[in-house]
Amino acid sequence: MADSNNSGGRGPTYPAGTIAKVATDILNATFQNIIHDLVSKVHREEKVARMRSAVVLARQKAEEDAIMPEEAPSKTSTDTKREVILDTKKLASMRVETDAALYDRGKVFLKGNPLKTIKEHVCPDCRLPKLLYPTAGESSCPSPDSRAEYCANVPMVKREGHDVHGKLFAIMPNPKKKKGDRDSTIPEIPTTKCPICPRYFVMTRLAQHLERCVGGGRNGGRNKTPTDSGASNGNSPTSSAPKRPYADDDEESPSPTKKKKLNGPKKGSSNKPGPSKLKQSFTVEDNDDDIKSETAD
Amino acid sequence: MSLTMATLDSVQLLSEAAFGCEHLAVILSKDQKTAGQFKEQFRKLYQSLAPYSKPDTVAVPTTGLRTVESLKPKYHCLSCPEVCLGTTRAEHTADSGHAFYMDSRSRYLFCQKCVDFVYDHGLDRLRGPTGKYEVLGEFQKSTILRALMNIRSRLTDGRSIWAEDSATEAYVKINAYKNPCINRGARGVWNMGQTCYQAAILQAMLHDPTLTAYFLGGGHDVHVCRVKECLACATAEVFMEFNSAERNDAVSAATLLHHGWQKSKDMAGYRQQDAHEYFQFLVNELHSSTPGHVESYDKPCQCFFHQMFYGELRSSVMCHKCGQTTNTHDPMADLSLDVQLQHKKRKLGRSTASTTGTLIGCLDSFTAAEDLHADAAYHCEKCGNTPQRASKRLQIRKLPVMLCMQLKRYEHTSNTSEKMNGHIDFPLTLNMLPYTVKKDHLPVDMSQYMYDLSTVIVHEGTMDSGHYYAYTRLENDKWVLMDDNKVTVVGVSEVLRQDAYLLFYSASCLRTAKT
Repeated sequence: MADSNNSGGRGPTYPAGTIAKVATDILNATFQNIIHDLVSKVHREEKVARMRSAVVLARQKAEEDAIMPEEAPSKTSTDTKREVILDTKKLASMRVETDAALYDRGKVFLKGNPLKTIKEHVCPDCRLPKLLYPTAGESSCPSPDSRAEYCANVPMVKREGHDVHGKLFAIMPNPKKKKGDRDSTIPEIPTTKCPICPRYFVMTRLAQHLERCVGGGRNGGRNKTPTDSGASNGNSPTSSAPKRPYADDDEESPSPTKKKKLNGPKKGSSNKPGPSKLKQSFTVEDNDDDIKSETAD
Repeated sequence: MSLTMATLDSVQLLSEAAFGCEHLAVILSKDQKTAGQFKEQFRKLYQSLAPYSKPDTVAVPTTGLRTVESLKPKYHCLSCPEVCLGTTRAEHTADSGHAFYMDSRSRYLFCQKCVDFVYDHGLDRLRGPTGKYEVLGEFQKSTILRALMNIRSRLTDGRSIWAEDSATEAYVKINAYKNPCINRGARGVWNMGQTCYQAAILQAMLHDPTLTAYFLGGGHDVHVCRVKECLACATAEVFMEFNSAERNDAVSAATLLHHGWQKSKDMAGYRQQDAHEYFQFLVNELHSSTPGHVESYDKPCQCFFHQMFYGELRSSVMCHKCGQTTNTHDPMADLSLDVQLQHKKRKLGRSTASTTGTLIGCLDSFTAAEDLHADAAYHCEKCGNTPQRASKRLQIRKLPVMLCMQLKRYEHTSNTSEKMNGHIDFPLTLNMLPYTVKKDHLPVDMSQYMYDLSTVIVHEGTMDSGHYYAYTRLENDKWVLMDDNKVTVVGVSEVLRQDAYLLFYSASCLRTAKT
């Protein structure tokens, strides 16, 4: 937003009235406008954030001064951490001043330019300072004060194999590992209840089960051909032989009693002239209540 | 209702300064008259500096060029008609004592005494519903707060309250449940096995502030709704889970999937679907499960989803002999744009400089007049119902709040279907004015026609199988890649490089009148 008509000291200058002069002037002004727009957008964001910080800090100070010295805990408040009661009458009539703002009878007035008087962003909702850089991954920065508490709305993390919250991508649960052996830092894909029946499934296999559940029980859906499944279903076992049901996995299954019952007709159905064994997807279906027993690939 | 909003406004106002700066405080807190005049001047100037379209019928004077002082931003004095450049501003203030200016580009207020732009919360509200993005953001925030309080009060005493008096205001203040700070919106949607089409479409919807406000604000009341296997209820559930506090992992849309299967045979089953078809299906179902919607074509539907998703297309046919034009109007839930034409043009070498197709080009050819085929001759009524040569033109008559555009990448010939890959350029902000029907030739405020890119859905793979993922803009203008449950940060440039299949744009400013 620097204002000068002849800012280009380096470039060639053209005599007034020539096309070259007009063209360079238009080009320069256009570039300047683009920069002006970008800067004013960022300026607004930053200044509004700091204005709010100034207001929140002043309000916080005022409220601290207005805490009622009371020992009886309030009964309505669900906030167990700080059960304080504010003297609203005092709050409505008091004046408190900080470097950046003036709290006067419920209103907060700015003092000076918050871009100069305020150095950090304070979250208006939780009133904690905000971190300006992610704590891990690309362009990260260790938090300025490791003991201090910061607003939970932190900048997003950009890191290979991690999501924006800095967590690793979820993997298929591996039932072969004992609970103690599992790496607690790697999240597993959760299970979810089928909208129809009471059984639980690994999230990424629910649709497959649901089709059969909707199709009128186990056998109803079987005759349907799953159309061109392979491509998006990266989890289907491609080369493994038809699996036998894991008898020893019952304790892993969320509902062992149900499973036994439902496994019953399976034996009978295997005698029927069912679909070709070559179709691998049926193998998956047969085992999908044992999904937890399948290893992730 | 208005009192509720007032209550929530006061919650919002707690973090706002009373005035933008000390100097502004002096004027605005003086007396009613001075403050009122200042505000009125602000509002007038704000409106007059709106980006108006050039009147296209007025011939450009060819005799003598118009003198333009400068293309740089100008500063309009709020107290007198003086217009300054950045360089002359200080001089004017020294001469006249007028300290406040409005920047002609951003329409922000400049205080010469601070020598800085100042942002006053009260004045910003005068910008009205046609203001900027922030207005929308606040609307959303307060509605979410209201929704949460509403839900909470139901849980505690079983009655639905909308704080109606000051007693309830106190009640609300004590019981208001503050949404904890969290990276809002950065959550995936689980792929339940070949349901990436659903995950991608949901991401486009879950990040729309208006839809969020609707579903969280009790727009569709799941407790009262008696529709069996209601898709709107299932969608509302997804919205609530997505916005529920303290969680940032992926959400599940199992109920929505199940209900969708029950509603439509085409959508049912463990198989891949076209994301565009799913979008149309979902919008259609949401519309028909809303109380008060109108199905007939004769009466205009006033329901929320109609305003949200449905625009109106005007198709006009002009007879070449008599010049008679007949218009028909049809609702549109999205624009399906032919990529094909762009490709053909390029092959023929008609498209000169650009090597890639553009969305603008697609829209241009979509709304261009085309001659009707001779074999499907048009019978003109005025010319005695005889077949005549005619041309047809499609234009948008009404724009929806959320505009979905499909780039038709699938080429169907008699025996084969083929997917066309290749990049089509699309902009971050889109001006829809050139594609709409202009009522008269008066200049219009162009900011009413501006759309911001909100979601880009990409299809990877072949015609028959593949994978969908979505690039979405979050509230804070950051872009993320939503690949089912995986959420990662991406830059804008990466988003704009994608071979998009579906593009979602949302109206930069809400044009809804105050209720």
